[in-house]
Amino acid sequence: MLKTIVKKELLENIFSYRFPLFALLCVVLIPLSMFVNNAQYAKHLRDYGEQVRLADEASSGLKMQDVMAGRVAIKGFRRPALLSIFAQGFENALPRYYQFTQDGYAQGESASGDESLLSTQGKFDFVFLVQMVISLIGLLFASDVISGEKESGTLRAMLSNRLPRDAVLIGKIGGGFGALLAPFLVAFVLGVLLLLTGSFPLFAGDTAARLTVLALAASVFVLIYYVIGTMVSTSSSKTRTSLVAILLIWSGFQLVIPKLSDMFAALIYPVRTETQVSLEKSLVNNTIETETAKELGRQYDLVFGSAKPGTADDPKSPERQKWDPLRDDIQLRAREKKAQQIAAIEETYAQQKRRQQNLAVDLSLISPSAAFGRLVADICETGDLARAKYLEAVRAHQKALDNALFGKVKRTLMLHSGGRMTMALQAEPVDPKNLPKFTVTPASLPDTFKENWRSLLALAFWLVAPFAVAYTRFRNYDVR
Amino acid sequence: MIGTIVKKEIAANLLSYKFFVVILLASVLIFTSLFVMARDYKARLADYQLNKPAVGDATAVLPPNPLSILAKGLDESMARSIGVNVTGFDVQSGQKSGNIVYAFFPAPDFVYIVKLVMSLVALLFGFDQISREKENGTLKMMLANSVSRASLLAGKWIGNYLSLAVPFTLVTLLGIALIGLDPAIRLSAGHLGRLALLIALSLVYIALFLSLGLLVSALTQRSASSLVVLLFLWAGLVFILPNLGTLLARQIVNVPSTKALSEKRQQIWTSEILMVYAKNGEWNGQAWNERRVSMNREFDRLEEDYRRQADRLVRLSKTINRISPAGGFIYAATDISGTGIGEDYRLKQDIIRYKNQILADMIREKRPYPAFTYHYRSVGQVLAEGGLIDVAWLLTAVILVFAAGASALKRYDVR
Repeated sequence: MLKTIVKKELLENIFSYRFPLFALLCVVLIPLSMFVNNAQYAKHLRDYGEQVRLADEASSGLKMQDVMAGRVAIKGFRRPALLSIFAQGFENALPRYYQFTQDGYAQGESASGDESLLSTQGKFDFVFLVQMVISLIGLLFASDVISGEKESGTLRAMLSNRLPRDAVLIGKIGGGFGALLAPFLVAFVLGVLLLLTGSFPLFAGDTAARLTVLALAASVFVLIYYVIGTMVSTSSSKTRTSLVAILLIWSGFQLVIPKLSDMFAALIYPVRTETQVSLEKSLVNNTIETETAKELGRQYDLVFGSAKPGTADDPKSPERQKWDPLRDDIQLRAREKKAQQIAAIEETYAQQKRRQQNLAVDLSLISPSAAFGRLVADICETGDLARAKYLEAVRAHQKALDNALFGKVKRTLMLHSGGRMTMALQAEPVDPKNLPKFTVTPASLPDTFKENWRSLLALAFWLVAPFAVAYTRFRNYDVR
Repeated sequence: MIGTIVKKEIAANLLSYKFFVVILLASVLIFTSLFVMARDYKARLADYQLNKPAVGDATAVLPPNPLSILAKGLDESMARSIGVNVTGFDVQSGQKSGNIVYAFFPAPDFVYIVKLVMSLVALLFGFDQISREKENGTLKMMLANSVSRASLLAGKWIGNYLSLAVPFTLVTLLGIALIGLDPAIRLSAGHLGRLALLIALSLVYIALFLSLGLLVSALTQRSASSLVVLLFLWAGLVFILPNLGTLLARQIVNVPSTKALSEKRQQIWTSEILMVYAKNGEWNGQAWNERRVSMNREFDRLEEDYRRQADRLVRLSKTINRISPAGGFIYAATDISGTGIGEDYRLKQDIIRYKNQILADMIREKRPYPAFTYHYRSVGQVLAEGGLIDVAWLLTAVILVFAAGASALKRYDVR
């Protein structure tokens, strides 16, 4: 009996006017969005390759005099994410590169830059289509699943036979969702095939696995909205009422909750901006440098104050024997103090951001759309996880460059009494070809699932709870 | 007779739960949007205060535009700090509110709410105006009396439009008044004028979707069918068409990447400077100045080539996107607010002029450098440079759709 109901629902949907409209929408838009985003990705990848090549050329021609003069800024570029073709996420908002200098790192401009002119109408990727368009259509298809049958009088006729209500409900959900899923998956596969004609590296790394997970997640998301629509349909006796309720639910899930969650999180746990943190770090840097310069100047005057001229240049003189370890000790303590204070600022900021973000994520999980969006963005390496990995790589690279390059230059700035300033420079030779390369290690798929357990739980909840409500309500539904 | 129908429609709306739920939703969204965007604006303003160039610095940076609270548009991109030096531009990241999440979900500004939600609300008001009356059997009774179909449609349109427009305008004005009370948000008389225009434009946009609802209602026999058709149309007009133009334009116009170009340029220039410095221990002198001027001209030419292609892309994209009223609405709204494509283009031209002036001052060793100043286009200029096309298209669309609805109702089977 269940199979008969599923077949009936499937055929009814396929032969209705809604199905060809929906199928056309999917088959045109999904492959089109993938094709165009692929062209954009290819362009960004070419740019990235060229920029990395130029940056490597620049750093291989590095001279220690330039490092000593503080004129060197090394750039580390972020490779565009392959799966940004499907979910742009933060791809255009993240900085294209970070700049590393003796004084720390600074972010460059974002990937959107000049392209922002074309983003005034919003972005248009596969995930956006699923979240905003297909979810709405799923709700619409489900809006008259029960109330429509009641209005036409066929529900009473159906249930007057020996048809258990749960079989009717499950059959309707199964058949209706099947009619939605088929064109959706066909469109997705067509899109991927189109990408393959453009040498999309489907079998490189875990790309195939990620795409499979993406298709699965999107299918579950569409099912969730279909079940929510069915729940609304079992709660009203008129299709018109279901439709209004559905539109309100959709607006709430898509437009209200994702925005409100971040707003409430920002209100409850306000966090300073990156500019403010950056300025604070600069202040600490400058303060410690000035204090160190004064201390070095004072000690220098004490050691060499009464010595003969030229003693400071004679490494064998007793004054130099005294001065060198003293200077190194002061500089080491200053470096440690600076590293400690800057690390404390960064750690505090990171903790505050994490707290705010966790709250925002928790609140946004009230909306299945937000949970889905965050999960698939991380699967496609354009979400919060990618942002965190990028920053992690930036910090690690700054440390590596400090050890391999910037730390080889000892700039001894001294502020003497009377306001006189002197600077001594010492540099160890560095082979620019051996400088560390900037790389970002992406999160693995198991790690992505681990980090997104809350989103997965939320999606599971949104699948089960509306079904349970629909089931309970339909059992008590007045079919007369 | 029209007056009676108008009064009847308003009364019916006020007595229906749908009206209150929908108006409540729209109000919550508008207030939330204004509040969230006002916070975003204040955070960006605080960032600007920290990053403001000192007197004599050669940096071009604009403070965030208060009207970006309602229409964010390109404000973040326009507010990037651009340092001018011997190699040309050094583009910094813009002011950040910390809300990078708006890169994830679209910025929930007022214009976005109107484009998406108010259009949907207008459809909800209009979708069953004719088909429901037919389902209830009241349509044939109404028309059996001496009520012309034209006055019926006009009365329904006016009644429903007033039921929408009045609460919408009141909620919007209240929201703007509340954020205007914040001392950090300074709205000048010019800003208020633009706000009034923005609200008027939004009302035209809402009128269009109400007319569309009435049209489809007059073409279908069941209100459920009209709503389904309208929702497909809405998805097409609001989501699909406005983005299709950009997708298609990218396929037709190929814009060379400026990033690799500017990196190469920076590298060549930096090497030249370091070579000269290593040789002379300084960088000035007649030959060097001439070299700087000629390099600058070369870079400007490269930049101009790129800009010409990029402008072609943007113009084509705009032309196609404008077919959708949502596309036209966004362009007009952002242009009026000073956060649109036209303003961005003008700003970039001004920055190039500023750069050339600074370079001339560098050569003449004239200090301190002048500050960068920018004057937003007047409303008249905005309309003359394309804004009028979008406004006129929206108004024309309202008239055409209403006329189509009237024509459909004339042939409607009321039995």
